[in-house]
Amino acid sequence: MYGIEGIVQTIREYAGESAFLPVFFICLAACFCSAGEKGKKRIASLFCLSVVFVFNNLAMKVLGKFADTSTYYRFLWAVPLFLVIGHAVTKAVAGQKRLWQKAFVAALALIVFFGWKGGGFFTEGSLRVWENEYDISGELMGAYRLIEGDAKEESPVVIFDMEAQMASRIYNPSIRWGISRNAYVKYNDAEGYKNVEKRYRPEKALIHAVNFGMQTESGRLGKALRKKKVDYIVTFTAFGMDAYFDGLGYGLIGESGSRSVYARKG
Amino acid sequence: MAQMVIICLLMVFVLGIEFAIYGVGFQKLFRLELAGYETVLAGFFAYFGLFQAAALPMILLQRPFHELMWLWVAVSIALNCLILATAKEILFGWLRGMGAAIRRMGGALFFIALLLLGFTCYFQWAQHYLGWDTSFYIGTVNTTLHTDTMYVYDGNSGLLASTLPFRYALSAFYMHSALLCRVGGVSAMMAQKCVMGTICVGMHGAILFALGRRLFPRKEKAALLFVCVVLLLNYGLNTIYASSSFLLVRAYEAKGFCANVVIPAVFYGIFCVWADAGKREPWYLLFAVGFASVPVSMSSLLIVPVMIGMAALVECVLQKDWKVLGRGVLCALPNGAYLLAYFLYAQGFLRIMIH
Repeated sequence: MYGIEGIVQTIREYAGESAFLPVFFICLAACFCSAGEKGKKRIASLFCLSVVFVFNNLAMKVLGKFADTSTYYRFLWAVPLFLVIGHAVTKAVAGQKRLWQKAFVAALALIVFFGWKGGGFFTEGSLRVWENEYDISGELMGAYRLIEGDAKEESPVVIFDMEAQMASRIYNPSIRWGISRNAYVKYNDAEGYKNVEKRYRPEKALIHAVNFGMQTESGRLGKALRKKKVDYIVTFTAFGMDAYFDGLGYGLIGESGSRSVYARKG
Repeated sequence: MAQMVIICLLMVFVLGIEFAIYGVGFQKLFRLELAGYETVLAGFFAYFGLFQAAALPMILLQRPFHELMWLWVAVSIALNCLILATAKEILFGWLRGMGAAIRRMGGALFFIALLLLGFTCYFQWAQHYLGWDTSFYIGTVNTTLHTDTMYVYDGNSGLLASTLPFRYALSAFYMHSALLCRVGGVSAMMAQKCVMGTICVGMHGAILFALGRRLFPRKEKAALLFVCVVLLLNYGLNTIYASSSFLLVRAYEAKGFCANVVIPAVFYGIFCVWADAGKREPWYLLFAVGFASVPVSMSSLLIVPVMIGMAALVECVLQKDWKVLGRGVLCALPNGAYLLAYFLYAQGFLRIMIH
């Protein structure tokens, strides 16, 4: 994502379709106009320096030398978006003499930010109570407990559908993943193997089975299961994989909600 | 569960007291005159800076986690005793000052600000966000507790690493969370969300108040209003990259601290320097922020020195005083050291094999 398009894209993704970015520039301009001579010089110099040192292609390439360029968006945290807007709104509200005037200005500001498309954080179900101390659904906990109760090894290797995998080690750190995070991030689709790096091909076969319920590549899957020394499989019951996994040497040990858990036989 | 929530709230309270004590110690050590809220800010950074000083050598030497835990318990007790013995007048003065400030500001706006802060703590707690990062960070804390090692096993997969992952191992933030789990007997998720998430929101509020005091001098109510306005604004911007997401959903991550505590603290330090670059206090504060920025979050690695460097450069030109630039460079020096180590690691020159 090098290049100026990458930077513009990052800024767009940062601010979304909200009114924050245009309002920020308006407030910054107002701040600049009302500042003293030194203040004006500071704002202008910092603005220019940030363009020279941070918000350009070269800076992005330099960042690439240190870390992943996908972390470039973090530089946008150093843009005082909320501080500048907050300062302007506070000044506007505090500048009013009567209480109703203050309330009116504050309400107006909030309507601008919350009424704009792009949406805030308040959505249906945004406030909920934890089911347990791990903040994991009871269904997933049930699946992990089935493994826990059955496991003979201290650290069993397990392959999961994506959601179950993400939550697994939050509950039980003795579990080892059979599918890596990279494999899931890069190749979580039902496509073929043509554009898949060689080292990820076994994991791709595992993803096809547990996350997409594909039952057409038993040879490849069998090899992958052996290579990764998989002890347990967790996938959706709706995929109807019992017979398929049984043929590969994995028997059903139980179900938890919409998920089935299979263990290596013998 | 209710019992664990109480333990978490208790840990937040104890950590708050620790920040105040460390802040007082910082003030005493460098003979500074800080405002009450500045003492807490300085204490937060001093605490994590010192924790890193204890933890980093042990991480690099691949010592067991329990050794770090006992070392920190011992260091903490010794430091607390030392500070209480040598700086109790400052501590009592701070307590009196805070009490007086609360009585002075204790109007409706003060309670609205407190209510908003409390609600924001609850809000971030009540969010159910499960991503690969959640899995990795909580997994790292859990793996540390389960294996009694630090960054030797991959937090995501649970597999043995071949080399020490500097991208994460240079910051001891999650080892501190593991320590909270061990001390409080709570799950990693609870330690992160209920304790560290609450600390992140609380510190964000404290820094907003400090910034408000700086932006609206002699107007405490305007500073409180500023806190309320900025907190409310955060609820309006919901995108994956926005700092608000890292306050309201992912405050428990180190990234949340970088976006909402470290960076605003750098702004505060810069504002103080603007007000009077000749005073010692702003520079010491800025140094404390720089010193503890990587220990709090690896995301600060490049952002903080760039911010401090740019501000110091501008101020140096405006004041025509090279000392200002020199002080800025000094404040960015700790990050420079981490940056060098990380660069050497990223280029393959510096690798520590797991033994």
